[in-house]
Amino acid sequence: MRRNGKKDKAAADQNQQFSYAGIKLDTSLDGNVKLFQQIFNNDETFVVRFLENQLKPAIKCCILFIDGMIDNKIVDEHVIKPIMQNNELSSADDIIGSLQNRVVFLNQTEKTPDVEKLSMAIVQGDTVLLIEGLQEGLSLSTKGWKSRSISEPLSERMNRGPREGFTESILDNLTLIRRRVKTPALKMKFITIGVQTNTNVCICYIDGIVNQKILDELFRRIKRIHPDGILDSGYIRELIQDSPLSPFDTIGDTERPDTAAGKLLDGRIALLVDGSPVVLILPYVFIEIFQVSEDYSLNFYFASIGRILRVLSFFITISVPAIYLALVTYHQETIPTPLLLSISAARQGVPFPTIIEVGLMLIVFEILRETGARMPYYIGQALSIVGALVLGTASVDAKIVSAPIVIIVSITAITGLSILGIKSAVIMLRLIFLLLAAFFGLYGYLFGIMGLLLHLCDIRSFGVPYMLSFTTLDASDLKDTAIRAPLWVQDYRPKLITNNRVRQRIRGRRK
Amino acid sequence: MKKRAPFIISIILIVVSSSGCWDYREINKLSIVTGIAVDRGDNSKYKITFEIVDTQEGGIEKKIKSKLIESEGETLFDAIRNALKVSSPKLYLGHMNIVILSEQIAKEGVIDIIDFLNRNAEPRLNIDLIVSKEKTANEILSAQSTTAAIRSFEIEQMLKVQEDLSKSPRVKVYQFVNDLPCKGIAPVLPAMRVVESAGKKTFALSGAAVFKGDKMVGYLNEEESNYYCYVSDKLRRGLIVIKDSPETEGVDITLEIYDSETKVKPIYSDGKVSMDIMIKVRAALAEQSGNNKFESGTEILKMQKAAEEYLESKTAMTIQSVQKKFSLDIFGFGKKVYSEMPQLWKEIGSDWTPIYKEMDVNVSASVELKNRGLLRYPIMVGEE
Repeated sequence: MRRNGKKDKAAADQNQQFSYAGIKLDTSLDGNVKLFQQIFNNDETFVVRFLENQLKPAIKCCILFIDGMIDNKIVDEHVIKPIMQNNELSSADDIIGSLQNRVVFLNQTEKTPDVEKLSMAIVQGDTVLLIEGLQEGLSLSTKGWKSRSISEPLSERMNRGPREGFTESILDNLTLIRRRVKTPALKMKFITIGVQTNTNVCICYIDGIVNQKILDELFRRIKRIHPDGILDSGYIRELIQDSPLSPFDTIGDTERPDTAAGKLLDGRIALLVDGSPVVLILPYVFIEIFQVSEDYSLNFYFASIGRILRVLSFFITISVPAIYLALVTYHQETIPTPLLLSISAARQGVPFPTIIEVGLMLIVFEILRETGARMPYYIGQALSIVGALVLGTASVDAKIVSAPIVIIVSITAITGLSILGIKSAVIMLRLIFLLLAAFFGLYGYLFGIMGLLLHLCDIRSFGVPYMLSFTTLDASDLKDTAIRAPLWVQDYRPKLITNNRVRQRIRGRRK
Repeated sequence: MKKRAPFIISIILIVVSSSGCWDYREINKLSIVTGIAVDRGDNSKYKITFEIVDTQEGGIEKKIKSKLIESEGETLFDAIRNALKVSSPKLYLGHMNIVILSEQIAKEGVIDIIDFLNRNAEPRLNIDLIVSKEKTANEILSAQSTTAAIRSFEIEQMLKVQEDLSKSPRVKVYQFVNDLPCKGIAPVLPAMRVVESAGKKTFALSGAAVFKGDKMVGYLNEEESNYYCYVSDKLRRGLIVIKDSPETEGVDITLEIYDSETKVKPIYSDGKVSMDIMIKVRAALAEQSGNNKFESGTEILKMQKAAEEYLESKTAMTIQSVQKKFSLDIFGFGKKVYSEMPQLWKEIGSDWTPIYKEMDVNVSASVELKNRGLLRYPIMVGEE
């Protein structure tokens, strides 16, 4: 894109439709309406409705809106009815001012002569009121469309904790956050992104806690991107995150308002996108993959065990196939003798080398997972039966794979499912480690681990090292890592992420 | 970025082509050897019997059996490689547990076998070495096992659990190698023979074999071997059986040893070297005949004294008989002198054997009785 910018610009000039930038309204109502009809030509949802006051028919008005984007009841009751029935209006007055201030019963109105602004208002679901003889129009907030009700997010279910999840409506989402963080310091800044989609994006943070440098950097990056359209928060993440080629995401996401509120309290920034129930959270560091907001509502012993298990699962799921392969094909002397004998017995008659066995079964599992994710739920049972047969007994009985492989793949799969947040990285690393182990044994696997660590220490998220709390020597940074210390000792927010590290001055401990 | 790519690719290529582990082999393509018996061959120098694991194909229940393979060769490794003539997968020695040496081989010298076991990468250094008292080592390995399916595992298990018995030492390859070059200590290996047990021919531990250098010179019987374990501080557990002791009024007593520690101290006075051996045993009363109450302190002391005297006399007798029979320092007294009085060793070390033969040994034992088992009083037999 960047390299042949000149070409693109020339092409864009040719394709440009009717340009209305900078055009102002005329005094003629008919002329103005024609202008808008030209802008919205071929759009049959665009509605033009002429109105006259019952007492003073000289006052001619027209409302313009798009059908389906407005709330019909509001337009009927609070715009059309008062304009038609009002008996105080006189043509001598500042008509537009008195309409705005005394007639329409709406909480948001704006007066402007700018055609571009008014057309933008129409596409966003506002109603535009034009008056005969006036060079200004009034945009009236009459937005109203159906949106999904608030429900528990399926991807982040919780046994104990709030059941609310974000929806597709950005204003509902902001309300969900605001209801949890009731302070005027909670700031919400809107930016419109997307040349065609004009998507509203909101940057939400708590003033005084947020790190100003990270905020400035975020604004700088957001302003630099000019995508055609933004249909989900994932688009923005891919466009602005650090180390875009890394399999690890350096911007996190959540569908839970309580998680988002918790991250805001750490000094992080939430980025909401209209039309997406997934809210981006940044900066994002490695340990957050293993943290869930349920950790904070459960007893801290139990929460810590859960976290340790998740970290362990990560290492097991990327390593177990590789380690098994290395031990069985290169380092037989490291396997305890009875285990060696049973593996050897199980492998009798299996036609493929171990690498093919492991690879085959991992691919079969990934296909099952991928199919299950895209499939109508009523076929799910059939899939699980067939899957269990293929992965389990049948393939062993038919001597296509050996029984230990089934165990290895099952362990890999189950542990992989417990950390779905980084499944892209997990699948890639598992494959890389498996190949390294197949060619170089444990030596190759260890090199893979070293490479992984180097990469993790190398990447950053908005200037914050990805391995933030792993490289520290400060005990206060370790209180919310693989273990979750009791809340009364968590006196500080994570460093670098916030400007204001003190979370609580007076300890909340019971006397 | 553009300039770095070929650099990185070339590094990866170099790593791929010039490093890593190279000995890729599928686990089911290996014949896993669990133990070998080394004999003199009929036509060539060595005849080796391998016990390999037979992981049988087919069926849901996979039973593991053992198979024997024989092969001959001019050297040990030659014989192992010649086994390829009878067994298609290559023999894998990484999980070998035991090496049984025939009496003839042991008497003629084992240095080449020990050399191979240390030099080759596959055999481990913690292989158990055993000397066969039968004519051939093959007989031990082809005797029937009683519990485990694989004989070598059973033999290894026997050596492990007989620490509760301490009637044979357990010697691994690295221990044997450590003792071989040392002056002032002669290596000892456990010995085995074939016995009839419940109608089956099976193998059993039977004392120990004494080596002079790498050549065997004779055997210790079980009792000697037991007290050898005391003196060389190899004894962990075991029993002390006292019969007809005046101290216990003729009651037979069995003590179970919890732990034992032996200290050997060389003493040099008047130009003569002697050894002070202190055996410290913690034990418990495990069995008694008759209904004497060993209740009060004095009676327990009596029992302790009986055990101490018994230990002292038996140990001293064993040392004397070894001194006379072999004139070989299997207890490592010379090594003690070397490490504790190096100056003295410089003077007398070259002339150690005659000194050892005539050396006085003072044995003092201290037995500490911890408990009387679950019974405080003996079970009384009423007289009707």
